[in-house]
Amino acid sequence: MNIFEIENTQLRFRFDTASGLCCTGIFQKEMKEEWLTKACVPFILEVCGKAYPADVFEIRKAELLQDERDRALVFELFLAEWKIRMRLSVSVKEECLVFLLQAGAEWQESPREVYLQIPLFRYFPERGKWHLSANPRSKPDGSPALELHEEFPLPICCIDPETAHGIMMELPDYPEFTGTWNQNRNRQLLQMTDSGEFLNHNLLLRLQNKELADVAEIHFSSLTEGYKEAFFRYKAHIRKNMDFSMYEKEDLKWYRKAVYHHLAFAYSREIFNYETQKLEVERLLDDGEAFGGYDILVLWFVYPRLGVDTRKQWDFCNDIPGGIEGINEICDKAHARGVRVMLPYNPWDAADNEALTDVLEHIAELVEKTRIDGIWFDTMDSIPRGCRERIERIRPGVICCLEVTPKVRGTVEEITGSWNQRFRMPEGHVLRYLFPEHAAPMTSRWRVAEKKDMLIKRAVFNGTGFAIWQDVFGAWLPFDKEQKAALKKWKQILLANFDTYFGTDSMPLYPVLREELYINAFYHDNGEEEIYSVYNASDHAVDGALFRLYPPPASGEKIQIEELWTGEGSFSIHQGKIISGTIEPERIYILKMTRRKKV
Amino acid sequence: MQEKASEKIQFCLVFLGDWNVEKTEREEANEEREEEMDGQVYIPEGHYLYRVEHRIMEGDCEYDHGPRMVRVPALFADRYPVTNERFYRFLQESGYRPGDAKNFLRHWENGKYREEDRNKPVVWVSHKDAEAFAGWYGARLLTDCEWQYAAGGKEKYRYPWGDEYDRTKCNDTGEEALTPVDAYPEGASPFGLCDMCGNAHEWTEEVLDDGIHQFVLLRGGASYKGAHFWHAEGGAKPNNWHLKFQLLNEGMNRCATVTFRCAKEAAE
Repeated sequence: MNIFEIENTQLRFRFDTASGLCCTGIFQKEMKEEWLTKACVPFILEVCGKAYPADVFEIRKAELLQDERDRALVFELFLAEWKIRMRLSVSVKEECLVFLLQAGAEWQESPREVYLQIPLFRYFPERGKWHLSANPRSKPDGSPALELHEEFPLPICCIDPETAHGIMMELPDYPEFTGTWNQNRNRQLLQMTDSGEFLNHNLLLRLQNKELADVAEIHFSSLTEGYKEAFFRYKAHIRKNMDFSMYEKEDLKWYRKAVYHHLAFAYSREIFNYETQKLEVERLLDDGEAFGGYDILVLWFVYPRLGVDTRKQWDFCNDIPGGIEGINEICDKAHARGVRVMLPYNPWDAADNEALTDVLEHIAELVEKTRIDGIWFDTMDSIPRGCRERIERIRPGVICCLEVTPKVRGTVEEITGSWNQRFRMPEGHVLRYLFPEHAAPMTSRWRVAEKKDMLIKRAVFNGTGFAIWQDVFGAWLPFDKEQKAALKKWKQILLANFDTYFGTDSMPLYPVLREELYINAFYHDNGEEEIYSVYNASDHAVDGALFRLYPPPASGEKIQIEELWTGEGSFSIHQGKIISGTIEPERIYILKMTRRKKV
Repeated sequence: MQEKASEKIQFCLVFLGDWNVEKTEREEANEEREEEMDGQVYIPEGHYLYRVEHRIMEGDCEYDHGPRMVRVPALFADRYPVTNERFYRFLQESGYRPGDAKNFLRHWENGKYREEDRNKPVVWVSHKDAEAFAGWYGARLLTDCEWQYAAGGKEKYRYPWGDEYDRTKCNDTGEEALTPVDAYPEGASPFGLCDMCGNAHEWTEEVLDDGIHQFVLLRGGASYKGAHFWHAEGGAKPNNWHLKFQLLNEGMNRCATVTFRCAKEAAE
């Protein structure tokens, strides 16, 4: 027997061992489509400049293994010239077939450099468009149109844009080992940003081991509804084993709707009155009305003054106008207007002999003595261990906000908010879509003029809150009247459609029918409302068919389209599912779709 | 200690004498005046090409850092920063009490300096406190430009004593502990001003206002040096350096590492 097959409900892999190991098919069962256009070897090794395709390896075993739960097709291979062992297995999982390559070598002296290629991808249909993990879609300049996250690498997909059929590949990765002597080279494939580079990859293996070690692991699954299906499937996998109970706590729920933060630099007339020597929070909040109102103030009096003498941030709390009582007065005045107050914690301002327990005590004391609503963790992408619990013991509901996007899964679970300090367009952060419950207002401390306009567009494009920061530690970078008005309008739209923007499902890089367009999509959990933020990144207007609706309206369902941002343009639906209209260059439109049952 | 200080004045006069071999009548008159001015040094009028370099942190330092030509009027400048003892005397004489006393002379005990601090620079005084002191004696603080000239002399030394850093000529331990103002006679500037590098920062005269913020430039650096990059720069600093100090309330404006010295313009 030379033909070996293994399948799940979606896919069937076929191998032929008649003339060495060869992969002869990857069949999509639902669409009855063969996705591999030509038989090819499943891998090639290169040793000392010479290529050894899988079909020159001796096949020592080829068998289908099975127990009560799992099933795997396993090929044991050997390359005598170099005493290299390879094992290729394809295992069945509920949602995917796991293609696993393992390798081991018995070197005479020291290990040689061995390179791995997986040629299968080159024989996927030419009509298929590649969505790489590190560059699911490019901006016009070629860079990724999405900020990505090492801990949550997106899948690699090949999708036919016409039919939305395709293959999705998830590559498990453990980023804490990045850059170390780790045999699994998935990371390299995940980091590639160019499809040419991906298809012609040549991965240097860390093949110092005799026993078989994982060198590449790819989870194949089938797509029938394109990148939207891929993103949501991937998102479900990511979230499956995570704990979101922190986000469900009643006493923290206010935080999600506190969409506008403000960094109040104390050494500034924006809040400080040099004549009266007082911090005038009410005046600051009055001024904030031009933006639609601040929901959270981050009262900043630490950097860049810390370091002139040995006083620490905790001392400054006593020394600023009014001291601790002054902070409480600010809290009371802010609370009277529904505004919350956070104080910063600066980890770099540590005393020489400061231990973690001291830090926790300082923070706890601050929470205990004041009526603040949160701590803003300067420069941090996580918080000190035990800090949140310590705070909670004193006053539940005090939130923790990171300056920097969380770096690891555990922090996403524990900390309910952070700032996103980027401004580029068309771009967003993948965490916004994976974890919409994590509050991540956008800000940019240094950008001025048109870059501030771009930042506003980015917030609108991604459906996020905003951190208004005008005084950057002594550099006054105000928003102009039009920008303030735009932010005021945006806040109204964001809150009016909060349940759609922050529903369970939202996705970046929604499939488009025109290359110039970039779309993010947001879905209300009731299934009746959807918002598409549409951005034209080109210098010319785009007219006609813009994107398809997935799913198309059900029979008896009518789509109502409303544009919320520009108040301009006319949009319609054709062929029951194609949205058409005109999108002016470098402009953003918010298209709200309401699905209504026809009466 | 006071005896030592007067010895140094004499030394400096000799030095000035060597420097200006042919004294004009006016200079001789000024020297006489200096002897009358207790602890002050005469700085003749001069011009120099001003240039300041320092780390610009976020927040910038809105000030013309040169190069630009500046004029320094003839001055009588304090040889030393104001000491705790002098400040105590000032309080006795003037009855000065700040409106907001938060952190005012925080290092004193029972309304007076500790004996070991008698001859150390007075700290925990705000810019307003320093101005009050100077005003009481009909003086003012050195401006930012004047300070640099007083520290580097016509030679425009990088440090008060010369162009090379020398840790034996200043208090630059990295710690906050201060030394007496006359602890480093070898660190004197060409005009004879002492303790201009390290030990404690010095307030300068101008309160700068960019419309949104008020700040003062500190000079000379301090012995204390914050451990982290994000901390304000500390340590002994060269003459062509200043630190932007953003003002807030008096409790924040008073520090353990900031002192001042006074000057008077010499009558023409």
